[in-house]
Amino acid sequence: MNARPPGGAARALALVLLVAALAWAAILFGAVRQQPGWEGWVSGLFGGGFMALLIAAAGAWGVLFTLRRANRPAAGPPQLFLAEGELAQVLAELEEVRERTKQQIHAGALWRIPVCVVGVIALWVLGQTGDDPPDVFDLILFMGGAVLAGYAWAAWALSEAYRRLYKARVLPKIAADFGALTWRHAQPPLDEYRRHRLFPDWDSAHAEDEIHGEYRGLPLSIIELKLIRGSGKNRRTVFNGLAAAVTLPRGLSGTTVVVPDKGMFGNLAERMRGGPCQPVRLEDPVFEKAYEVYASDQISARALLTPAFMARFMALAESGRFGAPAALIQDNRLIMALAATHGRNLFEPPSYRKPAAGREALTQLHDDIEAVLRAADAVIDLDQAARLQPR
Amino acid sequence: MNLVVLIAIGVVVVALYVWYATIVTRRNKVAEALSGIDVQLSQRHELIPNILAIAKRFLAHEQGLLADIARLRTTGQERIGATDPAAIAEKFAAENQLSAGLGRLFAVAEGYPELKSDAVMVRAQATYQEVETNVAAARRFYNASVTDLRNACQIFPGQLVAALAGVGQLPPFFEAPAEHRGAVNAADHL
Repeated sequence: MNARPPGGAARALALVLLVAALAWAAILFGAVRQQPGWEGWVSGLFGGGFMALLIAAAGAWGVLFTLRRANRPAAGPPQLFLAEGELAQVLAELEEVRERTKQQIHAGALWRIPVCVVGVIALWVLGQTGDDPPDVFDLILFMGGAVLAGYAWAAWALSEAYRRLYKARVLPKIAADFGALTWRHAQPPLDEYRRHRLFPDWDSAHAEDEIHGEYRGLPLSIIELKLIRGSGKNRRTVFNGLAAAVTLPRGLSGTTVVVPDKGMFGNLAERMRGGPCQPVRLEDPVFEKAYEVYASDQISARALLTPAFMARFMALAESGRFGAPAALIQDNRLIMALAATHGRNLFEPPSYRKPAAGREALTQLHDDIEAVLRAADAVIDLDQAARLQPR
Repeated sequence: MNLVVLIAIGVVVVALYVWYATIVTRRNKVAEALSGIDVQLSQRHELIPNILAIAKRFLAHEQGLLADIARLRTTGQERIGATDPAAIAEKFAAENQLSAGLGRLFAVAEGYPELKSDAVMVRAQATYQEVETNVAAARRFYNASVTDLRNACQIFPGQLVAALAGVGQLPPFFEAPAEHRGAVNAADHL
């Protein structure tokens, strides 16, 4: 066994000692500044020395802990996903990228953390010249924050790059297991959503993932979408869920919008806004009460919204799988907005700290795609089953 | 006192005018819905010669049924564009008979595997389904418009204003054919 610590660890220990010395000097400066004379020197020397010892001990423990953890044999074999073919190759490549990312983050953290800590010490010293100088406990608090900030600074960009790469490489392969489907960075038609008021007004939209391709013989696109209104304390989520678009094998024309009922005044305001779509009065009183329908072509709207379609639409809303759905139909393209009943983000890849081929993460991604395809099934069945029912 | 009477008369006149305007709007809506039905029925009529041409090749024993459908199509086509309520009612009755005839034809076709699997017939049947869905949608739009017009004409003072608005005899409903009146099975939707 090598008796000397590796180069990186030796540098880290040296930096820890340097930071401890700086903290000592800073506290001494602060003490003398607040209590000029021998009392300030004594309390600064002892208090600063104690703090420097604490920092050195904690830092040394941190370095040794990291070192031992890196060299420690695994308690058991990691739970890996037994991939085959292209996916196995992709996962092997990603594992290499992950190792490289981890090393780059550690290397970056080695100088970014001390820089942040030194910066905080400098600020603390600067604060001693003010009217309300911060005390030693503030310094401890700031230094803890600086360690976290330094690590985040080192990790943020690299872990994001790894996360994006993982999604771009792995998700298309998993999606392909379900048929002619793939994954891509989402391109939601936000202008269409806004123009037809499919959702309540929003200020910012977040859409990262889209599963698209052909499913059950129909062109399909499912986007995970989050719409936010306001900012700061007034920030609220107006929609969080899936926007599933299917091109139906129909001869529909024009635009039809189905949105949850907004009450008497809300509906009136909606009608006052005008536009090419006129209200559609449907025969089903329960549906009429729960939803408002606007269409540019009254006949085409009713060709889709058959009594069976309406019954199925309401059954979908009452199933508890999604919140109250809304729909936008443009010619043959049906877009359903299905609000999620859970708060979890879908399609989240594993962290760079976990193996690329981790079974749990890959199973979760597989399950996520399966879940959105169940939503697609619900949308496709909405039309197909409705067409088998009496008109 | 005179002012009160004048205001009351003004209110009545305005109310009658609003009612009159509502009836005219709804009458026009019925005319729009009726023309929508005619468009869909024309599409149905255009499709029938193709269906009959394919069916004739396989259904030698069903010539009577095919002739009936051809005759009903001619009758229906003659009534496209009718605006007189009596003629509209006749048109709807003829179209329902035609729909029933076509339904019988497709039911008979089930017993002829060669016809049923013929690619042109499969395509024609899919198009027919689409056209029938649109006919049903147009019928629902029309019936909703007729209901609105009837409500406006039959609720007081609608009876007084209807004649002024050019609504004499009220247009008939377009009843769905019997085979389309089955109930929606809610269990299938859960």
